[in-house]
Amino acid sequence: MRAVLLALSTLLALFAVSALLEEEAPARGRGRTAASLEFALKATPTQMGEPVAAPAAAQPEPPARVWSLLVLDGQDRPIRRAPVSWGSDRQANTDEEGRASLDAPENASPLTVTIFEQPYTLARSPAVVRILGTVPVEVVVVDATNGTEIQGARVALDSPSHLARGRSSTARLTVTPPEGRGFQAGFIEQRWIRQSALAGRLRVIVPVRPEKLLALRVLEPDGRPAFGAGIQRVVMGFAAPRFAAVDAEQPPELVEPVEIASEGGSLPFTAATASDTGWILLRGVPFLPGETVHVVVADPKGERFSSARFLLEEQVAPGIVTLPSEPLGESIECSTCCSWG
Amino acid sequence: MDQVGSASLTVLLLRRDGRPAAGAALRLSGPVSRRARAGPDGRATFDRLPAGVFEVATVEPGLVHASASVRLDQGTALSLDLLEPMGWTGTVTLLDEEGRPVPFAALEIEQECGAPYAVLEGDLQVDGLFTGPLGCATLRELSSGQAIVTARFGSRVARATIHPASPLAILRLGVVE
Repeated sequence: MRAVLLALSTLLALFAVSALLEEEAPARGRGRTAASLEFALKATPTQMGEPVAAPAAAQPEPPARVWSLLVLDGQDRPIRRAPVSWGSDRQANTDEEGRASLDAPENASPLTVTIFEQPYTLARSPAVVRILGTVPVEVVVVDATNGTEIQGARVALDSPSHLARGRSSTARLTVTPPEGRGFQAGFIEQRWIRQSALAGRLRVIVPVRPEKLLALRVLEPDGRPAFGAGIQRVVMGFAAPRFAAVDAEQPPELVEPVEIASEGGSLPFTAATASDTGWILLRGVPFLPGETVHVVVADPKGERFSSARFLLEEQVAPGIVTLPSEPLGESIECSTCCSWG
Repeated sequence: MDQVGSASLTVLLLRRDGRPAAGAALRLSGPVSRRARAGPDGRATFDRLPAGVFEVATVEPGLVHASASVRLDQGTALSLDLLEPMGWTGTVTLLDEEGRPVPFAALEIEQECGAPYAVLEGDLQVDGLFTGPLGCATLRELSSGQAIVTARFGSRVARATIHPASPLAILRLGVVE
């Protein structure tokens, strides 16, 4: 929009100046007119108060040259996602193999690049830069309930695979536990790492919590299943990155949540409603033993609310919640209205 | 404005096994304050110092805090060896409100000397300080003075102070001592 305004104001100014100059042209001659027009263009401010630059004479783009760069650590291991900067404002990151392609003007030789705040001069391409004084980051995923290493977990480190010695940095880890094992999926952790200059290696331990299945039965005041009742909100004392509820015809027998989910299919918890038996399943709740989860339910019209409280333990008993006969309003204090199955 | 003098102090910083503490951070305080890192040979030099009494101390994560006091006169050049001392070991156990051990609660250690705490196992730094499966954690190589241990588990917090004369503590979630 701004560019369009600029262009329009420039054109208007051009026409105005051109008209004025045309009137004077017979006396001054065409050659003078062209010179004045060029001057007017340089000096004409836009309506936004910004001067318009004169159209630059068509200068050929300087020929570019692509530099191939391989960044290794002191033991010749590739440094992944290492930030490389060059020129006045050019930046790139190395790929999974530690490689980067840098485009720079042909005459920018040798090329100075900055990696981990240290300058390096490249004399030719392809170039290899060995960065001493970096520490590779190794991530170990463990089961938060017993400390055993989870085999087969995938870890994506969204920050460089190495850290400069003696510097602190933030590592952003995305951990994907193996499927079908009942652990939180897509677990993301952002860790501030205080790197010791004395360390040659860095191991980051990420505890991943198993998921739990919460089963809740919603009843009418007279004991009938509250068909169509839904979860209004879930209140947890800790961060729950992702969880979902499933509708179920029958109460679960406290089996592995994944098996239940594969049978019932999953829905976002806001869309889950009680089946004609009154059961709602909430799966994917991260297991923090001793923590409490409050689940607030509402009737299909969203008028009557009640809630259940789950204490997360190895075995979580199904909860039963009875809707009130009269609307109580949306504001509900879980601590005063919990019931247990 | 930083005072400038003609004295200098060279510190040789060594680990307990005699290796130079290459790259370790040092802090000099006194009439002026400076920071430096030991070179590959474990040496760090502070120059152009004014006369006075200075304290030089290590502030490197994973290194047990060491400090020494020196008097510098104008024009003198002193050398000082600083050896990493033995640390002490503390043990904490984290319990919930009902007395059950809490595994994998995140721990933060705040040392009295102000030096950051980090776990070094030889060449390896382990990031991620947690209670073990039985709710216990052993904190090795703590620097002299007390240490404040903060345990976080979900939304709950527990805190306790341990020191060399009383290195054991039981933390209870929800209770901040």
